[in-house]
Amino acid sequence: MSAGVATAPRAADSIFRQNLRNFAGNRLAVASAVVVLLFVLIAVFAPLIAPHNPNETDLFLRLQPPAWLPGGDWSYPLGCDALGRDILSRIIYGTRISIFIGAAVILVATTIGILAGLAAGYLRGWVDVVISRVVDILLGFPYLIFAIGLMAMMGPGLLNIILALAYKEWVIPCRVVRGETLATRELEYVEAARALGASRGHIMMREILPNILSPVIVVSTIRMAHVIILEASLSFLGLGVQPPTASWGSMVADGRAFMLEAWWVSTFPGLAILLLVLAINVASQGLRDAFDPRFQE
Amino acid sequence: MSETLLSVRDLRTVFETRAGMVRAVDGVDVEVRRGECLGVVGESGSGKSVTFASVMGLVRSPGRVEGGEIVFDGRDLRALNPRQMRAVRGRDIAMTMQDALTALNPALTVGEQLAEVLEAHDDTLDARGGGRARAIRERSVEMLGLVGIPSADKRLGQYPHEFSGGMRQRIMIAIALACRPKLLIADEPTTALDVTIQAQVLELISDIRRKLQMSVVLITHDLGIVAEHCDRVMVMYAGQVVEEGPTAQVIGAPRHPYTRGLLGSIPRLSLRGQPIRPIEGQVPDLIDLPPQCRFYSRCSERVDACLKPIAMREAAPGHRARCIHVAEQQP
Repeated sequence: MSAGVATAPRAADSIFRQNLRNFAGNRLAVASAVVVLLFVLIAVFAPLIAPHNPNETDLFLRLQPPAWLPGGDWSYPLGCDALGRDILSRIIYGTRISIFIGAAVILVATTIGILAGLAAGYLRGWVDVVISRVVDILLGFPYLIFAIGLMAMMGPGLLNIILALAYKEWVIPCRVVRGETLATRELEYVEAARALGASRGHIMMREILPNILSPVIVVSTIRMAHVIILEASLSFLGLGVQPPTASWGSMVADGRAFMLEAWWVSTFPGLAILLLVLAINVASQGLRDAFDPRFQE
Repeated sequence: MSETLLSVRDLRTVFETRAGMVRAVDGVDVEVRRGECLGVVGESGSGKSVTFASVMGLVRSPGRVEGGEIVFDGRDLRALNPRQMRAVRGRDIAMTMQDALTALNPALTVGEQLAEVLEAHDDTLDARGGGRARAIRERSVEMLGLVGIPSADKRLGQYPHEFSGGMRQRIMIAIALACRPKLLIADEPTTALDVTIQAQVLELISDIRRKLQMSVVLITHDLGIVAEHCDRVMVMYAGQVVEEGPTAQVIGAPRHPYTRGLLGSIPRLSLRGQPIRPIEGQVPDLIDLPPQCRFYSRCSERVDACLKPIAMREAAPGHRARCIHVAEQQP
């Protein structure tokens, strides 16, 4: 009876893997992903790559120009800052701060956002009202001013920066997850799971979450670039990582006073921020194009 | 053990909307005997799906079950708490959805989806030797084999999009039957399928019903399917049962004008050249219904007495209809 409808089994291939293949076809996005990966490697292996101790000062090297300018020296390729610290080494160590804070904030915010969004979208009722109102209120604050206020209250420190940024960042994935959940909960397979006696937790985590993960991943990567800029902004304002720890934002701030006579102090960390944020943005655009069916031809 | 598996008395389910109270199910009685197949027919919005969603406790806000009694296998389902009700769903009563193409989770493999039901409901699996995971896998293969999916062992690792429509419907039936429920509610199981596949799926359900000795409620709007597969049939209109009885009697000698209308609107080869006779008019708005016969505005045999509420009347033993003309033998 069944032979007529049987089709030959093909190799199992999930939608996720198909999307990855789409992504691999986008050369610019892959190149950007490679750049991001390079930054990650630099962050991980900073002590092996950096030519000097990033915090070692030498006043004889004060504001030494980059190697290719008159007075430069190839053992300090990008020159030195006002305290005679090697700028290249500080940029390499600063990568750690940017990527670590960016990843940590996104991880915390996405976790909270997924849980809150699922609860709001699936349970509805007063849970939805409370979560959605909190989201609306948080969206009403300018991000940086909100973070500055929190940092002023909590004091500086790595953990506090992560918290200050995650406090508001979670509303972004939360809104995405809530919207997707509202659409997904009405689908037949969710109803079918209910009809088979699945619990609410099971439906949220097993039936709905795997199906809405793609847009969440895409949004989270796009937001990571924003978080890196925010961390740099906080550090620029002196509210971020405390000296002497190298952070791109505080390095830009260090060079403000000598912009005219020693442009390299601010410029190179600024370029590092630009390059990493640009690479993350282009790579996440590629991810979005690959994972969101609305962008596929 | 009584002969009745599911007994619903005077079920009333309402939906509160901005426009008013929609009485989607209004005083419905259902009886399903052990091992029988009950057909439930009616057009869209007649309350057939909502009736059985109410039985399973699946009616969601803004809807709620307002009153009535639902007794399944000697237990009052309305008295159960949500946790007990979840244990009944899937294990004792299972339901297959209208559209198999969307009723399987696209992000999980078929094997995972089968395993989840077994994991949640089957307590006998622990007792078997060889580890729980292997027992679940064996059972999954067995279920896919039962619904006629070849090389089931290999196909457990595949995703729903790798199966054809008919195969997905079979998989959904396999998932529904995984825990050997006593009652299977099949909500329009063939609406989304090709005609040839429809016949196979219905044959499969009948087959498994005999093999596992379970009861089946077949919700459909196709009287042809009912005639072929059901022992008894229940016709619903505007939230009420208008006729019920043994299939042969209801289809051979329908006593309610609506049932006759349904039968008359089926295209037949024997009546070639003659126009199909559709039922004139619209289903009444279920908000603020007047107390009269619900079919009044569309009925060709209405009389003044139909303006009062009409009760179910016996036409023959086991055959009842909600019409005052029941006693008269109509053509």
